[in-house]
Amino acid sequence: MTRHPWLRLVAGRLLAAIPTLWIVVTLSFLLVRLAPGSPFEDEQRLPPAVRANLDRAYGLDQPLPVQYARYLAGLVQGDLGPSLRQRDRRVVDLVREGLPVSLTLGGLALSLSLLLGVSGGLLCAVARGRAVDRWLGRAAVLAVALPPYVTAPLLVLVFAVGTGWLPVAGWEAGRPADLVLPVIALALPTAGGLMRLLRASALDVLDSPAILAARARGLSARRVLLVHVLPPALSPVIAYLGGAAAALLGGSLVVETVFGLPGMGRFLVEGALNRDYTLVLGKVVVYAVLVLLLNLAADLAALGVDPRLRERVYRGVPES
Amino acid sequence: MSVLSLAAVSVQRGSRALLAEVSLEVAAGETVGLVGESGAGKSTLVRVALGLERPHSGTVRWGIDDPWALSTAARRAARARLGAVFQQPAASLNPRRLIGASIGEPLLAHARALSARERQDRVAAALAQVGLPGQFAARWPDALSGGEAQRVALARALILKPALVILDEPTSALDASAAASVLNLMGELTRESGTAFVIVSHDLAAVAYVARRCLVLEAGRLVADGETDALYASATPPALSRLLAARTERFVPLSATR
Amino acid sequence: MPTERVLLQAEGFGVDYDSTPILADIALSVHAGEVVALIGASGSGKSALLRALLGLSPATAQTRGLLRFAQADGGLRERRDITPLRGATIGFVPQDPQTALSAHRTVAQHLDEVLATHAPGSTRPMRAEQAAALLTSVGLTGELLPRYPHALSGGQGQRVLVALALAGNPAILLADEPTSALDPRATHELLALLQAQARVQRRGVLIVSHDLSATAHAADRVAVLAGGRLVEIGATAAVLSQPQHPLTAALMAACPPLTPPRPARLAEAPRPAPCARVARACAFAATCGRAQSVCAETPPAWRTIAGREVACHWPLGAA
Ligand code: SF4
Repeated sequence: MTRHPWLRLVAGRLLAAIPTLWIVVTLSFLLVRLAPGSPFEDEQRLPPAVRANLDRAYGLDQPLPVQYARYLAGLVQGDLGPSLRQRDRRVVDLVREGLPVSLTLGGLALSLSLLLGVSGGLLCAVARGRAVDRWLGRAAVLAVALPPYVTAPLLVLVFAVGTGWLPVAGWEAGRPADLVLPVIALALPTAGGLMRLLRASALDVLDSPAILAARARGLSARRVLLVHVLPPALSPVIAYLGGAAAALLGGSLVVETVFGLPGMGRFLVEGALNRDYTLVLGKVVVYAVLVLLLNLAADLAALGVDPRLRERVYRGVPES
Repeated sequence: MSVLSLAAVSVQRGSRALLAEVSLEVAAGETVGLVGESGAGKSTLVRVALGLERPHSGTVRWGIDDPWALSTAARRAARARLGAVFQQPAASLNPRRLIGASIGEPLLAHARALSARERQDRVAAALAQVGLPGQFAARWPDALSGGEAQRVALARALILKPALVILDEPTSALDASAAASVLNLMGELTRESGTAFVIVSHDLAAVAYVARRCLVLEAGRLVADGETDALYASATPPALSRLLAARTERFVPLSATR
Repeated sequence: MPTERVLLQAEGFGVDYDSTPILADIALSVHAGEVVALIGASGSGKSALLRALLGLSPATAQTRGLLRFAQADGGLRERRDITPLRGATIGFVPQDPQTALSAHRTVAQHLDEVLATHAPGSTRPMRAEQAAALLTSVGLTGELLPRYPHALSGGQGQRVLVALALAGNPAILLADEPTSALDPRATHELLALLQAQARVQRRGVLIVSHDLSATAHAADRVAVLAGGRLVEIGATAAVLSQPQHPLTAALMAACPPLTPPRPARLAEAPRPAPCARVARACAFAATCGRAQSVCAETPPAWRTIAGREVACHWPLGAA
């Protein structure tokens, strides 16, 4: 019964996230471990004694419950364990290197897709049935349907190899040109999805009596659109964004690989191929935390556009 | 025997009493009107009677069963004895289902033994009961006028041959002619179907047209229960006299020249 | 009343949606200081008329005939583009506050933006004062300013809608079923409020409704719309006590009486043929109980009987 319903909501959600996180970690731990193979298996001609030493060094000779307990104990202290394949590196350090890259890339892609999706969706809704609407609609379908492993090489072919305007790939910290193509490739599918979603919800709002009434009051078309149509039309978009944003920010395997960016997406490939248990688990943990945080952010944003929800939170009525 | 009885039913919302110690009985085959001002608790009473909301104290009985003493599954099964019709006819029909499917839906839940053929027959019979031709089963809800949609809603409420149907403002969204057609149908059904009806409305004339007995609700309390015309003539309790005074026929225009 | 100046006038007015006529030959005027009730069942064309008067017809609509609106200088002028009149010359009172207000905006925000639109130079404190005054003028208090629409009762919400319609000080108020979401008491109060706007503020009030009984009693004149055409117009007392058009009579007989005796069956009004199909006949020729062969051959001309105008070959006549 604190006096701040918002804080109470956030605190409650964060507390509730802990068991969720625990379940995710436990399941992933089991899945990773129950898959056949071991991190040191494919290294050729590893003498049994060396292999046993390695196992002992990383604690892999212990029974599974012990390893699990140790992992959890580390996790609580913010330690994701040592990388099993990149000797002398801790997973936390790898995350610390990769996450900023992925967050930058994902954050820019998220902003771009919001910009394109929202403005395009609104434009389509206003121009319903006209040529603009039809062509943008087709473009959105294409953007959703074409996966980044098709668009990324195409973009490279046209804008890097063909015209030479932008670098083909690579990452020199702080060079914005490196990010242009990856951001576009990453943003397109989300932008297309957002556009279609926003068009549909904006059309619903446009046809509502509230909009007829707002126009009848003499408000300018622009004001009606931005103040009366957009906020309620954003409600379904916000729900969708929580998940979409986690996928963007968590690091894209394809885009990071195609453009050679040292982000989080790379982890999964390397980790999975090498059975680097701790690395894979690390990625899962980071991703799960992102999903939980972004869903919380989406819920807070939903409160921002809907006073009825807000009131329910203030009154402390449980969500139904 | 009564098909619905409430004994000292109270519902609280926060510190406010939405219903306070309401007791009433509806006998089999009887038609009862329920009137009251906005906020008097009419919709809460409807929800409690339908078993959609559990009262904080007091008992509800459908026939001899207390729905809240039954298991969830048994309560759901017992709901087959009640039908409901709400104010917005269009909103209560799923626009993506044919009318026949909407009317027959309760059969799927409560009469699973029926064959598809038997279901169709029951739907056709329900349509006939509300005075609509059988072809309506193959139409879409958006092709219905308001009055027709309300008849369809009645057909759906009646298809399980319930002991009681509750109508919440069934005519207030309709124009005069459509409302008249629904009231005419109500007149026939109350005389012929053997089903009991509770009609909730702020249209006092509509209530009086179909219900010989009338209940008046004021601030969550049942303040009158008696013969409709006698109550209207006496214009008591105060809530009823206010409703009578507010009728638009009594509207006194300000002088045109002021 | 007719000596009062005319604020709104439709002449030979009609609307086609996708080249299908749905409103034709509308001749109607609203004077300063009077309340006119336009009664029409669903499908009568009243929504099309309402949208046309606001200049908010769908893109596929085409209009015929004339609409004239009051000018600031007191004259009447034909207007094709109604956009600049919305909220300024003609104020709109929509049907249901729960759907006609934006759920995410407070009463204050709603009022402020309309005031700002119609008085561009005003400052925020000036508008806050005006907003409070507007609420007072519709019988509410400033307490409601910070509320969101869902926290208003039906009667409060409807009054807020009236306050919003009044923000641009319009000569004409156009109300769409303003009482359908209200209980009898709130209905009574809202009608009194609209009537005071006509009597005291000398506005012209046009109430569009499907329900003869709910609004007509508060009006000075009643116009009955059916199948996209007007069928009877006249002083309320005359029309309600002695309806002349069979449809008007049926609409009245459709309302059950409050006290006995009651008819065994209520009348269900004849259905008009759609506007598009009526070129050389009465719209009711196929369904009207009084129809004769002439009804299917010639459209009825307007005639004046007992203080009102009626379009029918066989009006009911004085009882
Ligand atoms: S003109 Fe003829 S058909 Fe039309 S309303 Fe009059 S009597 Fe009926």
